[in-house]
Formats: sequence, C-alpha cells, structure tokens
Amino acid sequence: MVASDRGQALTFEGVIAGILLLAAIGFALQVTAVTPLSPSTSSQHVENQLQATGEGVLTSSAQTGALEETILYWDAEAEEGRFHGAGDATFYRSGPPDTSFGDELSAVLGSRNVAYNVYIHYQTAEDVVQTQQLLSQGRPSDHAVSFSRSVTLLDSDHLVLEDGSEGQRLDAVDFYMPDASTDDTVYNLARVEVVAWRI
Amino acid sequence: MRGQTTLDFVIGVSIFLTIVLFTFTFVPGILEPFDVSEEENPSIADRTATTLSQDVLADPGEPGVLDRYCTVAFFEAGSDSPSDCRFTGQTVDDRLNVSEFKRVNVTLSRSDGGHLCWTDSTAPNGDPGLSESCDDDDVLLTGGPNRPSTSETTITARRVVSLQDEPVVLEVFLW
Repeated sequence: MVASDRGQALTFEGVIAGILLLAAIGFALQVTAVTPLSPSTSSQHVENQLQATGEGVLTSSAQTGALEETILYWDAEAEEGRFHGAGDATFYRSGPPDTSFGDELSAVLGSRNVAYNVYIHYQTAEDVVQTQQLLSQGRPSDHAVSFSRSVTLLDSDHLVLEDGSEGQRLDAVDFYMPDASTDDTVYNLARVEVVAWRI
Repeated sequence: MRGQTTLDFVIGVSIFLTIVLFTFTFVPGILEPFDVSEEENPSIADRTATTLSQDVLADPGEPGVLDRYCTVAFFEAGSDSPSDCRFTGQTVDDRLNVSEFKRVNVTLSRSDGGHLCWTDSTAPNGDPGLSESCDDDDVLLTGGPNRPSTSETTITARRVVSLQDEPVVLEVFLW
C-alpha cells in the first residue's frame, strides 16, 4: 500500500515542477513589459535618427531664414503680446505655427508620430538666460531627444506680421526678448531648442 | 504494486522535460522582434548618412547644406567623379565605399513626396532645379540597388538636408 502511494507522487512531482516553470515565465513576462518603446539596440538607433533628423530641420531652416522668421512671428499689438494665431495663450498648443519652419517640423516629425516642444532661449541685459516657449505638446517622455541652434538677431530686424510681411523694427516695439547688447547692431542671441519624443 | 513506480516515473519525467523544452524554445522568441540580426548595420547606415550629409555632399564648414554640383554628380552613375568633389568612382556603390556584402540605397525626396530629380529646366521659368516629374534627360536623385520587398530586414538612416535652399530628406537604406 505504501509502495502505490509513493508511485503516484512521481507523476505529481513532474506536473508540479512544470507548473512552477510556466508560472516563472508568466511572472517574468508580467513584471517586464517589453514594448516597442523599451530600450534596445534598435530603439537607440531610432533615437539617433530622430536627433539627426531634427538637427537637419534646424540647419536647413536656419539657412533659408525660416527659423528667424518664426522667432519674429510675434504679435506685439495684442495685449501682453503673443505669437500670431496662438489663441488665448502666449504660445502654440495645438500645432506648430503657420510658418515654413512650422510646416517643416510637422512634415518631418509630426507625420512620424513624434511629439515636440519648441523653446526659445534668449539673454537678458543682466546676462541671464530666459526662456520663451513657442510650442507645447505635453511633457517629454524619458527617451526624448533635444537639439538646438543659435540665431543672431540684429537691431535692424523686423517683426513678421501674420501674413508673412515685414512689421516694425525690433528696437521700436515691445518684443518678448530685450535688447541685450550694448552696441547698436546686435539685438540678442536666441537659441531655438526642440525637444522631441516618440508617442 | 511496486511495478507501477517505473511507469509513473516515466510519465512524470516526460511531462517535466516537455515543459522544459517548451520553455527553452519559447523564451528567446519573445525578444526576437527587438533583436537586430546584424549588429553592425545600424552603425553603418548611420555613419553613411552622416558622412554624406556633412562631408561628402556638403561643405564640412556648413554641414547639412548640400553642394548642388557634387550632389547631382554623385547620383549620376556611369561617369567619372568630378575632381573637386570628395568622392571617387563611377557608380554610387563605388562612391559610397561600403563593404561588398552590404547593399545600400541612397535616396533624396521631399518630406511628403516620392523620388526627386535634378532637371535642367524646371516648369515655370526654365531654371535648373528639383522636380518630382522626371524624364530621361534628368538625373534621378537615387542610387544603389532598388529597395527590397518588406520581407527583408532593412535599416534606415534619415537626415534632413538643405538642397537648393529647400529642405529635402536624405534616406540611406541598408540590408
């Protein structure tokens, strides 16, 4: 009688060991969520591409003057001042501005499921760097990349009106960045920073 | 009665071994979509795109802004490379100088469109420039073998560059 009891335990042991193994796999799958956004060699490559592409957008926009046009796309007439067409806020929240830099951003990044924030850093007369947000699409995720480009603004530059034509001279209007330079040619040095992340 | 033990033992062990085998074949498959089969391919594609957009086709002092003359000459297969451009060879494959076991396709396009051509007379005013409608005299701005079908694993590196004061997308496909 004792012998037959002992015999049954062997099958049980096999089944129980198997269940333990499967449970271990199940547990491992549950605690580590492997998604397409998880870090790996290939996702690192995608982040590198995103960064390099974004730098290219800034380079080509700076070359054609589109970047400067967007910095100066400011409605000084509005109460407290805001970017043209930004609605009630100072900066854009739904999509990029209606300039060629904005169009290029949305064609290259927006169409590839990438969200991005755009900031404009400038200097004040006291050599302090301050930031004006241009576009906000949310809080960047942990794998966001950042790229930036500097643009020199001159006293003789003009604001850009909503239809793209030339507005008043910078030193004659209420602009969001002050004239940080003491000489009468350079106005300020702006750095446009784009933070982009996949969604 | 003791004779049953052997049979029980066999059943128990075979159930256990089956599950062990299943585990060892199943677990590596979970990570397969995130595995790059040839580890060096992302680096090669990335370096090729960087070299093209910052050095070979552009002035190193102004990376990302392509030189019109050298860019068109680069995609013009079958003729000698101009001496004042930073590449040599007769075909795009020679000019890229990537290992012969890799196949590379380089393509310039608008961010929303298909292939681009360099034509000697564009539609409105007859100046040389970029065009999306190509005929036989134009230089198609793509080089290397045609891109493979979707069943093969390819690595893509993408850059935005400026050509003729216009932002265009430079894509390097490697497989």
